Amino acid sequence: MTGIPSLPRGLADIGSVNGDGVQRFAPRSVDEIVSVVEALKAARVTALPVGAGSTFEDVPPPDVDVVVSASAYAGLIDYQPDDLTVVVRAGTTLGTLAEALEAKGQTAVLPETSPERTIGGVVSSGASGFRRLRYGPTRDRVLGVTLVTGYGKPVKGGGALVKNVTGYDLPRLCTGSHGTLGFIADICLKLWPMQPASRTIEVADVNEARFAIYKPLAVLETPDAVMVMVEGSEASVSDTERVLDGASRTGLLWPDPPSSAVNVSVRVPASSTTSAISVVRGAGAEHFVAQHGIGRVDAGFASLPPGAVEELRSRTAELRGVAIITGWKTADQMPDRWGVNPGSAGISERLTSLFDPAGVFRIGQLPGGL
Amino acid sequence: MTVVDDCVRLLGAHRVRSHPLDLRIFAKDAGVRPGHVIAAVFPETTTEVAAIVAAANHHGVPIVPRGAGTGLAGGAVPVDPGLLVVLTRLNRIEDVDLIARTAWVGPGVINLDLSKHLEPFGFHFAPDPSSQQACTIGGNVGTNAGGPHCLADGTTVAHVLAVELVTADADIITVGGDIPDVPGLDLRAVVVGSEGTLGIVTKALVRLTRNPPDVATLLIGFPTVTDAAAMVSGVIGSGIVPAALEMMDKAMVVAVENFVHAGYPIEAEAVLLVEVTGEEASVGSDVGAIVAVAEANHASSIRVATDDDERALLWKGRKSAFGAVAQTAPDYYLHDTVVPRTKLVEVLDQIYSIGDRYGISMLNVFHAGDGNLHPLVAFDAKEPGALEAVLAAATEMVEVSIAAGGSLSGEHGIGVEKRDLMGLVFSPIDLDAQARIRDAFDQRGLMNPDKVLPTGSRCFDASGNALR
Repeated sequence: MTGIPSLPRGLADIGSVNGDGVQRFAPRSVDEIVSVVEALKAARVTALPVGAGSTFEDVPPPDVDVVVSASAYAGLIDYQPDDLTVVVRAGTTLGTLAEALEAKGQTAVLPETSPERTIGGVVSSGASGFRRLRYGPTRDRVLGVTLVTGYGKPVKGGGALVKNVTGYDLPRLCTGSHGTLGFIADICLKLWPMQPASRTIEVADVNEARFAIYKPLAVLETPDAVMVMVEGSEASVSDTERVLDGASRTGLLWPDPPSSAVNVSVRVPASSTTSAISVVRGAGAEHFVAQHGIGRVDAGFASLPPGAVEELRSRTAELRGVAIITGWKTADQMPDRWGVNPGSAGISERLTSLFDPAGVFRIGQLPGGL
Repeated sequence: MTVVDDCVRLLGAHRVRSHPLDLRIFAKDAGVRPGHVIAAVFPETTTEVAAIVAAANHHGVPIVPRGAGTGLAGGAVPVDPGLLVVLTRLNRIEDVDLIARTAWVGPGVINLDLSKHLEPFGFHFAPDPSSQQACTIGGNVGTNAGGPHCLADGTTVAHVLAVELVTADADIITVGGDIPDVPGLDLRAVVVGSEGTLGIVTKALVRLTRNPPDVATLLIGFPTVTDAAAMVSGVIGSGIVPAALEMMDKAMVVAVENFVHAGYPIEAEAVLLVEVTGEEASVGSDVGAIVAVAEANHASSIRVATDDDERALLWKGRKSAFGAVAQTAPDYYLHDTVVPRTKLVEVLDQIYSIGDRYGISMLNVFHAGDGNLHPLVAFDAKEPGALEAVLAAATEMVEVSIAAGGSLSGEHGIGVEKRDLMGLVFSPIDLDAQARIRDAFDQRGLMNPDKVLPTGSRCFDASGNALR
């Protein structure tokens, strides 16, 4: 830990030192975020932006000088139910947001994970939930952002409009950027009305089910079952029940995601989802959740030695897919989290360096060490 | 050797057009301002596109990509003399995958042809601009095109998973991919809607959308525009996001009815075209709910199409609106501002009074569900001062939209037409960040220059450090 040699006086009450000796900042406003980034830039130190920090409960955090947390920058800024839009601060937890939206019968269709996760963490990591088969990925609901760039300016992109082609799509670019362009402060989301009825129905044949029904929420496979999730009016979900003719339960009974010592997210072309299940089974997965129609299989392993990670990655590459490490709680050194580097002829490199010339947030969170 | 000589060497003389008549034709898109074309070239492969970009770079000549030229913002014409790369011959549909529900499509494929190609499989391409009989997928990608059905389905960016891109440096790369959440920055998302300023798209991996098992289309007349707008909010508030929710005012309804004879209610002050899709049971209950909301909002007529022919006729009225205007005046100027849906009435009132003040003839047809306004001004450009008045009124209409929390363009793009209005929406800090994105893709500024970002947006040095 290098610390910050010359911490400006005004930042003293935003910062603290953690038990691990890493300095931590929790700015409370966009102005304070700007001040912190300016100070980090001037001091030439590196920083990890986090929401609740849940990503780094599962994988070891990168080696950085300071952590900048969104935890003290939380809450709704502007909620317009009639426009189906909401603007929130990055540190707002999914639970807090869902509670406000549910009161008006609406949802932002965010990942079905811990309510303690923050919207900033979800957007920064680009995480989507199971319902993406029906509603698209989270990225398609990020209408606007305020990004405090690595060069310390609060930049707005997009806005609280459901349709907007004014300028380059900064909100989508920030989604899944893992903090490499700056600190995402405010986020505007597109909302959907909640549906009155839902079902979880077990089916025998995945493709038959997918063609038999229109726009299911999710078609999931675990070691125990293949299940279709649907929502809509009571009449329409009852209809689907009749068409699919499998064991049906009321509500959306999302399977638990893998939480093994090693978790890997295998992503392949959607038509290879079943093959990807064979790959993770062959590698000894103790649990998996596969998303048919999406091409994603999240698998958990009791252990996965470095050689086995390589083997899994080469089998996945045969399907033209990737295997990303999402959880690593073993004593072994974690291999590269991504295992791939989709080249962009230097464009991603130039983009991150233009957004962060001093390299405050360029701490290798993206493939290729960006 | 000139750049034209190089293009002739690469493509042959028959695919390089530089006759004065060609140059006049290609100097215009569907916008109102002409540009300056050195030559229009017609590559047939990605490799040819890359070779042309390399040749243009060698000569320091700007490049402007073009599809069918139906764009309304001047995006597809060079401002300073430039090479026009027409992509209509890259028109193959490949690798249709019905399990993954994707296909690779050339930029020259016409939007409606793609959906017709997919029809036997029970799928379509969701974005459906009014120009879909002519506009190309490449143009749709360039402008992040919308259309009536993007209310529920999203605009082009939600339907393009990857693009093959010839970069400003003439490299051929693929951004995005056919796997979910491709690792790395989502460059695909900025290329879509970048209006040819970040490179030339030579192929797109598009998402295929299932044709709905059941569809209902309703045409609802209202005694006031305010009632119709209240109906829009009422439908969304009732928990239904229709597939489409379109509004026309009386002037437009009369023009359309004269043109297609679809039985539109010409006595109404405003008409809503509402479409709901889904499984039979849900469509039935949605229609019931929509009729109830319409009655509560004083609807003067409610017509539910009884079969596919009647549905097609009602849509023909909507989709031929711009053609129908030709009976009013020889030229038209079409706006594309977007406002929060709840501000529709307020902004429309202001737009009508601006039109009255300038004494211009205005018709309105627009995507009410997503707040995307399309005031259409009919005029005769041969009348002295007519175009100037139309453009002055246009700027005021944009200003009132932005004051209501709106933006410059919902689906047509910025091009050159709205470039100098960007400062109304974005601060110098925001524009500087936009210029950084552009610089990351095109350091020399030869890809469709003078578009989207106003002069002076860039305030950073080559390393990204602020200049002031």
